[in-house]
Amino acid sequence: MALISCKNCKTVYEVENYTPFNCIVCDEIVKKRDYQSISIAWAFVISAFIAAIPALTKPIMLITTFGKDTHNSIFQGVVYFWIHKDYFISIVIFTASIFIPLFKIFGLMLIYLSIHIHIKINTKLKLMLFNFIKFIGKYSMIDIYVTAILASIAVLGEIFSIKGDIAITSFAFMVIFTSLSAHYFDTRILWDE
Amino acid sequence: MKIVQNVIECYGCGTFLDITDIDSKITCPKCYSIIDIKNHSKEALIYAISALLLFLVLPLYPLLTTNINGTQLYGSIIQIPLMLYKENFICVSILIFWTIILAPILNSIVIIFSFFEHNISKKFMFKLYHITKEWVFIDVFLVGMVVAYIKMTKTFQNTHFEIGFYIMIFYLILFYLSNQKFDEKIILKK
Repeated sequence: MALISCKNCKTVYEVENYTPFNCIVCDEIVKKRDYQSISIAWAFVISAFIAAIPALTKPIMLITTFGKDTHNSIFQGVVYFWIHKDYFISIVIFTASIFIPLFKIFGLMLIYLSIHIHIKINTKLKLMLFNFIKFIGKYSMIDIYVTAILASIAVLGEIFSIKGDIAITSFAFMVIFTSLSAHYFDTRILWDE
Repeated sequence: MKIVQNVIECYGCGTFLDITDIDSKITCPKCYSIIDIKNHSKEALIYAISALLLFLVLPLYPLLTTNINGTQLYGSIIQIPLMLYKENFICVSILIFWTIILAPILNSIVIIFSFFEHNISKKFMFKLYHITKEWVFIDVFLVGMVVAYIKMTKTFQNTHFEIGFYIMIFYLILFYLSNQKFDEKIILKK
């Protein structure tokens, strides 16, 4: 006899073998491990990487001051605050908008890669890294919210206005794809190596 | 095949743990993941109703105000996705609408409904609860508001937080408490 649980409603069953079956309580398919989750997680993390390229290089905000348009990318924002000696804000923007999103993508790639090829990292460490990435995942949305809040307040037409720019959609997709990748991945697979 | 009571699986590593005599939390001995054992309480209903009522009055109040050349400008929670929609950022506006307006409202509604008799599918309600719980980004939005405030004050000195911001803080506390006191398994048992 073996134990198996439904990942959806967490009901635990005692079974004779690990053949997938439908949960009595919630009707979801109960299986020992979701190996399909690796492919789904890879697909989302690769999509996130592709979305990250325009998200970090193209302008995210369009500021109009007395009829003059200025397109601002995240990198330009970091450099602007650094030049104006606002080191703290510059570091905060760099960490939240550039370092963390890239750290999440490459961190997840490393974890997924460790299933396919042998990488000498302790499984507990991999799980800790994964949980940390999952926890900070939604906080990358800060930039999207800041742009949206500023765009909804600063609306004085040609005198002064802030609008979202081309990279805002890619940035949102990058955050969502990374979160979905972490959401779909079944971490129990890491322990089966 | 039979259902086993008082056993829970750690989804971090797949270890099965005995939860007899465990009230709130258990640490997995294999991967050190902390697993919450939820105790269902009727307080969840009170918190969910309060949260929903707070959220319904929220669009009436501005979140931030600023003064540019004598013109008073303000933004409310509804204006934020609406403005992006008008600027043709449809995907982003839908995402913001979902994470800061629709998901929180639906989450509270599911909790409230689970305490009463209804004809809606239990499985649908269970799924909806899980999805909405995961996609409520009010805490991130509040951090975003603080960052936006700092950025605005750099240029415009007369930028202030308004009552909507404080309502959101209270909402976040009530949302957290309602989910903390609510055991989602009750949805399937009803």
